[in-house]
Amino acid sequence: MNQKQIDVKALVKSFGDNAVLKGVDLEVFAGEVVVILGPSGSGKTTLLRSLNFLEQPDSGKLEICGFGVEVIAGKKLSRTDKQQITRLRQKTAMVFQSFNLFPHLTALENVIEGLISVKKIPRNEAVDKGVALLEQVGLREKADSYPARLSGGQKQRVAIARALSMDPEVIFFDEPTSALDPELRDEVLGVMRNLADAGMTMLVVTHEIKFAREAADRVIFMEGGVIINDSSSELFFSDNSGERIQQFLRRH
Amino acid sequence: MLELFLRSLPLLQTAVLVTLGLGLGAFVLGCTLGLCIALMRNSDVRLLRMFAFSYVSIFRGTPLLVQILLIYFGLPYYGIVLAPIPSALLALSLFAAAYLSENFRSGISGVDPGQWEAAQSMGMGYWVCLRRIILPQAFRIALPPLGSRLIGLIKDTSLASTVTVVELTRVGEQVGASTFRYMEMFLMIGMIYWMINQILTVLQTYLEGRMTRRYR
Repeated sequence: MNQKQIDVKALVKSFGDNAVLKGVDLEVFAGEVVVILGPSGSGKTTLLRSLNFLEQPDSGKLEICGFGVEVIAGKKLSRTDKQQITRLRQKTAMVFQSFNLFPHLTALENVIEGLISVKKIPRNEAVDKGVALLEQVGLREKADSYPARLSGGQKQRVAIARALSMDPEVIFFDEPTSALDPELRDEVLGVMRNLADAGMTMLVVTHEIKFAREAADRVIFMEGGVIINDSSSELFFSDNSGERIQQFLRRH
Repeated sequence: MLELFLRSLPLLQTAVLVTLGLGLGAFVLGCTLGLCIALMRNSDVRLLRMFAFSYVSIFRGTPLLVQILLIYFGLPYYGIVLAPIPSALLALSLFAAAYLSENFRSGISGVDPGQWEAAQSMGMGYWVCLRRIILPQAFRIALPPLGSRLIGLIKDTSLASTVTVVELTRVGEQVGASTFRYMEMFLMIGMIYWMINQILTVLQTYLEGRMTRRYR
């Protein structure tokens, strides 16, 4: 069995009175492509954002890329916890629905920012790597463009190159194509497919059923703050995946 | 008027330098302190937030003239004696910091929260994120109000005349008193303030254009 990259136990998160995650357990192994599906408000984005603490869980035990943090309800995070969080963030990367490129930096500068200011790699080395990554997502010629001059699909590809620059062990994708026109989605999904084929560990929250069907090893289905199905992609898309899932799939 | 201008030129030249020195000096010091206050105001630490809030409340809520007089005439009672120019510079800087901190704060809040998230998600710490990602964008948002503040500050330096600083307004008074040509003298002084501020306005517009270009 491959190494366990993500091990989450009893993850709980509420926003005020609204319980969004009601005790979620999740394991992801190296090289797996896991797609998280579910209706809006099911907690899938919150789950993803909790894994790198962009959303602070109320309680739960998380171990991400070897860095463990146990959140106990009502207790503040310790200094060690915060250091662990910074470390696990350096081992993971996130691709956002709204891209979140740095608008004051060019495409290339976006890609190498983390290399320079977090990994402290010399600029010329960072540039070489950044150019190669832009090449990989098919945007070599846009290196000097500012994000304002890029299409949505191009922005998201730069964001993926930026995510890759940190050599992450896992990449989290938070609805990466939801803000894109249908004709721009394929270019982003294509890049993601290549990553999946290359063995990258990926956790993808999406509404793209086709991507789940073709690229996922595992599909997780969430509803009402809990995982109600966690199975191989083949099983999920077969006829005996259960009434609720069949109903969901018919609507998409 | 020209001959009066030429006659007072030597005085005016030094006065312009004092006015500019006070205004720009207070702006730089005020920006430094103001940025610190703005960061304290956004801090997780309650005590820092309260300090920043009180600071702005006091220095924005009382007249600049009172602050200048307190520093120049009041502090000597406690053995702190400052010369006129340092007194004025200190008062102007403290006063400016209160307003500038609010400009910085609105600039920082104006940056999309997704920018913090993107930086944090790659493991960037608070200060690096602030310096490399947030402040460059916040500065662009805050530039128009910062420019207004600088112009306001240049005009506020005229209050330094009350503590015997020989800046533009004081020279106007002095020459006016000795020649009885107050009207011409103060028109001239007003014009010089206006010209300084026009130059600053052009500078601000240029900077704004430069910083906005990459965003479209």
